[in-house]
Amino acid sequence: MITKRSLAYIAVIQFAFSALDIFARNSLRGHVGFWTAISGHWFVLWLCLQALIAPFQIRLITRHGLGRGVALMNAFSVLYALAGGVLVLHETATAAQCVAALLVVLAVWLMLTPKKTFHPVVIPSIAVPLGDPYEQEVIPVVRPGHAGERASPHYSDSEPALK
Amino acid sequence: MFAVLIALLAQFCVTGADAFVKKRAHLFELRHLGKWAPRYALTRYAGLCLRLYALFMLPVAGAATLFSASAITVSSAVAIRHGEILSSREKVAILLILTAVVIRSIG
Repeated sequence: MITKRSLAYIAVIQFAFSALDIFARNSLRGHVGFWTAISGHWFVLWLCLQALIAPFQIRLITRHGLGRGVALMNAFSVLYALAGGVLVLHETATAAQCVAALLVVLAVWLMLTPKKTFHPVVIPSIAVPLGDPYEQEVIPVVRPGHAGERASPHYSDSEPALK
Repeated sequence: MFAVLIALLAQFCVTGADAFVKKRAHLFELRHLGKWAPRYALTRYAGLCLRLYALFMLPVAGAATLFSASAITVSSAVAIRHGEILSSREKVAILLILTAVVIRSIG
């Protein structure tokens, strides 16, 4: 299960990664060839910034796993794309973007809330013999004059057994 | 098509680096840094540079969708292959995120 604190951590890491992505896109834009585009100072800066966030990404992967961690990072990228479009670029959010954001919110809710499981209440056991309580052990009783006679469970000295 | 293949190759490099470092979580002390850091840096930077190349070739919206979708799919597949256990709720959540990424590309 992902905690709220972990979710905030993933959100911050993805924010840094998305910011670096936008920085790279803006720097690549307008160049004719790829090699001329990456020969600028921005590329060295981009590499250094990637190296700076790499330890945090390693921590994210080792703590939350590859499947969960990467999925949540991309979930935040969907939300950032919507928020960036509306707040920074003053675009109108399309219906598809709103549905995508809703699906992401639902997915995050699913990851935050674990499935409720029923834990059986454990009662401290006392020394009770297991098995059928009605099936009582027949103990051979040696009575004077009746050697080897097997006593009935209901047999008692005061009440003679029925023959 | 070539750009899509480059993007997928980039994602395999990045996920390969992540999977490599996840298996060596016990070697994160400073004295063991030389054992894993060079390989991790090489594969991850190779993946990121290939990603930049795909970003240069593809339109922005298409590239973002392709990167996110391939990252989720490849990472989940590698995670399951490496023995990571995902609950049914987490699997549904990952599918929802993947659907959200695809839907985002429509609008």
